[in-house]
Amino acid sequence: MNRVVLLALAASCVLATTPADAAPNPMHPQFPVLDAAGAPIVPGGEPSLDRTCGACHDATFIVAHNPHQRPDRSATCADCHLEDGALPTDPAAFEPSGLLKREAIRITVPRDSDCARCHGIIGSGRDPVAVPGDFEAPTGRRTYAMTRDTGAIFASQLESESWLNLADKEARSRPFDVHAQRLVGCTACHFAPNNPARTGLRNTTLDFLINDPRRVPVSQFLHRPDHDLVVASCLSCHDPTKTHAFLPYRARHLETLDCRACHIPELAGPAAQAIDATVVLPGGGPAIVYRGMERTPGEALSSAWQTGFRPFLLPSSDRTTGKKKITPFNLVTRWSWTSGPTAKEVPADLVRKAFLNGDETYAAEVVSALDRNGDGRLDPSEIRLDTPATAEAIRSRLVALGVDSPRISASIRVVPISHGVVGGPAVRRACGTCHADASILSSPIPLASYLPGGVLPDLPDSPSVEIIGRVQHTPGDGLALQRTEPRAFHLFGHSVGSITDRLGLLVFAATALGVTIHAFLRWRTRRRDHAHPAGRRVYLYSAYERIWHWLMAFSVLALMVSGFIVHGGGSPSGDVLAVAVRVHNFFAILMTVNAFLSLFYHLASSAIRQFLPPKDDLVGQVRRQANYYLRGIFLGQPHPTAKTPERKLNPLQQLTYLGLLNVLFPFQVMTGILIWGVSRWPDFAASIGGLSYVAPAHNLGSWLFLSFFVMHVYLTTTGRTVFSNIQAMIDGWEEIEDEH
Amino acid sequence: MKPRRPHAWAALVTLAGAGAILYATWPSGRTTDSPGNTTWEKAVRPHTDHAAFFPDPITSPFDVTAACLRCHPQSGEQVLKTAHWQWLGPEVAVPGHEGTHRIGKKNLLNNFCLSTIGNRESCTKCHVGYGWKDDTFDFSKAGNIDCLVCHEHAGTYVKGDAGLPMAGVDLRAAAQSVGWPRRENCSVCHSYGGGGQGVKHGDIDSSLENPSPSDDVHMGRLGMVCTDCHRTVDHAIRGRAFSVSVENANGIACEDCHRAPPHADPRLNDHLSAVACQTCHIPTYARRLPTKTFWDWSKGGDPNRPEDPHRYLKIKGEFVYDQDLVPEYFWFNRTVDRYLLGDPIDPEGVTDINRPRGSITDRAARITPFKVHRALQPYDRERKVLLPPILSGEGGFWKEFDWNKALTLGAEAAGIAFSGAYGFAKTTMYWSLSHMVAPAASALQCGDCHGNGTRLDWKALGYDGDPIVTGGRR
Repeated sequence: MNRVVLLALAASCVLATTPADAAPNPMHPQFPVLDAAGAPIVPGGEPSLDRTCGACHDATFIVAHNPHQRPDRSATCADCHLEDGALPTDPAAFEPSGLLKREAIRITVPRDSDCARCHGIIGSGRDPVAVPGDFEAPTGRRTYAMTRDTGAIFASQLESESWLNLADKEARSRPFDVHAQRLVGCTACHFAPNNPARTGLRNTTLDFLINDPRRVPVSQFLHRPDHDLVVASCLSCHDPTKTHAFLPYRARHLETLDCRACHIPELAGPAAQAIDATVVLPGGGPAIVYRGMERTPGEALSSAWQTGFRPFLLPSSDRTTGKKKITPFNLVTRWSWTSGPTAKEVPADLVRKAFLNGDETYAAEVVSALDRNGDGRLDPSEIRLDTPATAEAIRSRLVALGVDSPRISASIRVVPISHGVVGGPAVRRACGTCHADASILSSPIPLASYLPGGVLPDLPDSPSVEIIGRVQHTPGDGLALQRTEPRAFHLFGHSVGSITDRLGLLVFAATALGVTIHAFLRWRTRRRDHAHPAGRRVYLYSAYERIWHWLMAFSVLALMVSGFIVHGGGSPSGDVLAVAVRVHNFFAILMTVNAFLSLFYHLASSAIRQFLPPKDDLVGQVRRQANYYLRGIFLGQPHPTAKTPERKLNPLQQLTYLGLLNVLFPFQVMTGILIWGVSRWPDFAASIGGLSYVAPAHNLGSWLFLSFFVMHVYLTTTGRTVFSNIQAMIDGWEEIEDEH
Repeated sequence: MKPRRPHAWAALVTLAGAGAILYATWPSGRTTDSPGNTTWEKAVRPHTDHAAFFPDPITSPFDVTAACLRCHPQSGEQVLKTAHWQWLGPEVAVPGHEGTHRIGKKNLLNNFCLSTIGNRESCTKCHVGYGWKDDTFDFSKAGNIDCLVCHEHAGTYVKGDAGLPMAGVDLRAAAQSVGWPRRENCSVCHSYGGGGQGVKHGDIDSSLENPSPSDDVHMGRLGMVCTDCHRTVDHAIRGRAFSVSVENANGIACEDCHRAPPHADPRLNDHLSAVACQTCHIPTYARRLPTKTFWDWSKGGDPNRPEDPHRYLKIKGEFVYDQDLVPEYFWFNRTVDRYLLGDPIDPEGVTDINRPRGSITDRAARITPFKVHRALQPYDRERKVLLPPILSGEGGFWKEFDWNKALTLGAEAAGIAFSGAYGFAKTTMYWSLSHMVAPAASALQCGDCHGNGTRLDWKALGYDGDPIVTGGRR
């Protein structure tokens, strides 16, 4: 005891000369360390965190509101808040009064390294990031769960500066996580919900208040900090509407996609695909196959060749708003031994006993059962139970150990991914990632490369994540999840081949075929000596008429081409889609304005009469015109309808144009506006069924427009000469045959 | 009525259509971020083969110079005006001193080999002239210029005492090989300053003669040579060494080529007003070869101590070499306080030979990386001034190992008084770093300075705390 006093005295002399702000905890008061009974500990005693910290902080409340303290996994105050992870018990750390010295302990808000004690790989400083040696068989409370389940490494380092064996590493000058790089650490997003410094603003429904200054005082928070941590959403710091100007249909993208879908494009760490806990590896852990990694069995993870893991995008209900957003996930399939009627997982040490002898070597029986190539040893590739015989061998050993009806079960866990965020050039920007035939939104999800026990997992049953599909075998004993698209789902560039698409294609094909046959027959029956009677040159089309016609023609052409690209012309290049959308929007407006101006012109002048078919004997006139096109034109007969400046259109034309301009054109414009409106007025769009109805309708209209276009251009060749009609529409003059 | 000039109409409509398409398709928002840079093109340097001009063997270096001047007469006049020749800069005001001074290698003290005064013959191995061994050297004579040291490409030209070529050097081969100055030409003096490989600068040594991209991205990846940044017009070489200059006239800045904004990330560009480019882009220096960081002259002269060129030499004393060093960071507005001969010192403290000027409140100052060289060098105990010793010259310490004699003769040569009592005082010298620029991927990241980073001492720089938390100096 004297020694302790002497040491303490000596130490306190040092303390006296140390300035106050050099102490690591200038604010936290000094406190005694208590044992479980609440008394100051004696040397050699066991400190109780509940009692020590609980003297000021309401430990009962904290434990009750702390998902980190559970029977199966628990973190203590010391794990997260103390630098060394434990309270000091060395007498030299105490002052004579029994209080712990200020410099003996460092108490902080949890730092990244504290969280990483259990959760995952983080990087620190300039030391190159590498996968730790105990990654596959961590001891204690360590799980590396964040990295193992998602592949995310929370490090500020650039990927090109790490030790990992990444494909195309030289070019990967992106940080592992941009938040880690910018020193936005774990607690920036994971914090106590009643921390007044973070959640100070109180919601108020009173419209005369923008801020209610009454809030939880800091002391109350410190007494009872709610450890049921909230997770901040991206929107609590970022406003995506201030950027993303390059995105066409921006509001729609921001509404449909979670930020992470594009901002976590690829993870560089080892992300598990399948965890085979039915076997035990020499290191003691299960056999894990990682995504995006070519690894010879047993190879160190840091040196295995990594092509990277691109997360799977699945619709998932947002936690707070309930809206469905496309979010990145990893699917981890786990095979394990389960027992009993409730299919409880067999404890890991029993499985270990079934495989290993006491000295950590494989039991002879296991070797003989699993040894495929008969060399008397178990290679890493042989340690799997993918045949009935091998599964049975282990099963019987488990039964011998007292396990009740052991069997292999499989389940798929859906893991959301929130780390590994990038910004800048590394972000997913290529439109073709989603808007293409092979869209990332519908690509199959590989689940496993072999099946322990031949057991197939069921589809994961997650209440918030929408997974529609089937678990299917793939070539080579593998397993994958084939996704099927949800019913009301329309993705430009990807959703092609609907019923309207096929119908429209049919109409267009028929039109094109008809036109080709007609042209061929005309060519065959042309008369060399067929001299057109000389006519008068008449000024038919005014300047305005020609301008609005060609503006219309050009716009329609631009709209069809750009619309075809948007629909899914098959171009995988990213920027083409964005350009096509802009072109389409521009010409849509141009054409609509042009059409309205033209309508006004026609109504305000007498030009509208051109389009009104004659009332007398309309059916007869139509019949005569149709006969001409079907028969008379091949026989060299004259046109049934004379073309005059007062009457430039034959009845068939008038009817066609009436239908085109008053039915199809408004239909196309309205559906087009509705498609554009899906981004502008999302609620209204949802109420009418969204894109899945409007887009196919617009698509059908466009096929009809295309068919009209083909027919119209062809029919312009049926004038006095092949080009006389089109020439007239260019310069306004045409030679009309004299009245017959 | 047929409209007049239909072709004009057609042209108008076509133009309008083209304009419409351009307007519709013009990319809005930046899809790619391209920081402003002038594109650097490798300079085409015309090379005239001088082999035919030197048909006969040459015995005297002065003959070479005379031959050069026959075709390049202006070059002589140009070189005579330069600091490389005079070892003096222009007339400048030195902070902390009255009037104006011409200062340079000729009359300044440093804390490496201390002073060239009285030691001319050996120091002028790195002078661009022939024959400067004492004050009788004629600085007005162009015929004394050494053209070969900068222009020869043979690689076999070696200068000896008084700048004259060493015996056995093939002057004819050197003369025939002349062309534009390559990295080796500059490196032969600048890499070995202070008496050995990489002693002085820290960011210049012979590893820059043929560097890899990670050694220096300009020279290693882009293949630039010294004169691409140190542009020279009429032999006036651009650039400022703050070891011998106190201001930045005709200096070089990164912004000469790297136009604003240099980074795509606006957060990085926010740093530009307070942090020099070199701070983040030269994370370490002396990566390949070590540099001298400490020199204790007081330990010199011990005959019993084993010698080691990297630890102890009898003529020089004890020193420390180090490699892959993290720089020290100071506010720097590209002017320095300079110790001039005769300035008083505080023997108990540390004397700064060339302290960088600037502070957190100085808008022109930015945090800049430096190599700091610390030394113990002789001073006058009574008069409290630093003393320039004779080292290699007659009666110098390198010959007789007698400090008293060396300092007496040295003071006399320098024209200052010596009381006879000497001691050794602590000095520091600051070398700003601009070479050994690392590739962008190796640049400093946020956490190297901020957060748990230890590179910058915020309090010493004048901040309240880490500016990521407390805010910058604006």
